[in-house]
Amino acid sequence: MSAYKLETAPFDPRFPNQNVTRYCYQSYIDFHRCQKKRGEDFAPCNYFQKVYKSMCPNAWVEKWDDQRESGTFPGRI
Amino acid sequence: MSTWANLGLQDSASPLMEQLIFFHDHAFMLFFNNYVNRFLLHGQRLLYLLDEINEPSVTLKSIGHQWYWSYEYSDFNNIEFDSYMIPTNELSTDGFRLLDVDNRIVLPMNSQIRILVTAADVIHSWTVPALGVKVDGTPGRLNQTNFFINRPGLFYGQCSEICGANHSFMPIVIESVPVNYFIKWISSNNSSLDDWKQVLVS
Repeated sequence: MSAYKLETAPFDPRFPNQNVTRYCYQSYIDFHRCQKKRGEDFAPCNYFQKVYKSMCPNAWVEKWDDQRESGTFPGRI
Repeated sequence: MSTWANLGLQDSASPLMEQLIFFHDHAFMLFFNNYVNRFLLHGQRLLYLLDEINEPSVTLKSIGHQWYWSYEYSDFNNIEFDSYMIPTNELSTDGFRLLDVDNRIVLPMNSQIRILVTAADVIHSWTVPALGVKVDGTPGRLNQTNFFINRPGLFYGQCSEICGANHSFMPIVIESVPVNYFIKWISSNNSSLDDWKQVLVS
């Protein structure tokens, strides 16, 4: 994430079409599953975090974070 | 109302749009010359070109609201801002009526850009004719498209899906700048951002 090179979430062949809703959701879930399984300090999990932060609208992320906190998040983490 | 006066397309600012214009003008010319569809092959080439996979360098999220767009750049620090049309009574004399906005989208030129469009309430559509882009924003869905701007400048568009009373009054303006200017803008979050809405996460 240097100041001189622009980089963003890469093309993911699992989601080749116009609708990338699932790419955002899947990356969010994968990050939290990775953290839960490997611990908060496991650095490779941050790849998923970078992807979901780039792909997911902030409002969706906030809503899901609130849901996780209150135990009402519909996905399995 | 469509008349013979608006046959042409806006000047292109993207290589794909340039190809679309060639195809359009070519097809138009042949149509009026009553020739057989020799441009079928041409059209297929273009369809494939439009589906090319490319690695973007920037991701821009655009969320449609009633009746403004909000934009998020989350690749580096988290920049978000709203973009409202400048009302006609507050417009400067050199401004474009119904097209100018308070905060423009700043994007680097000569870089592949990914845009993700969604909406917060009803269906909107994000479009910039000069780049050949039109993407619907639907609540709960994230639509992706890529484009490439090959020159600096200002490019305008208007919401293209009926979304209520002020559907005609939520335009889009892209300010295309060289890459180093864009990087400077991103890292300094300068005054072209809506003040109270600006969120910085370092």
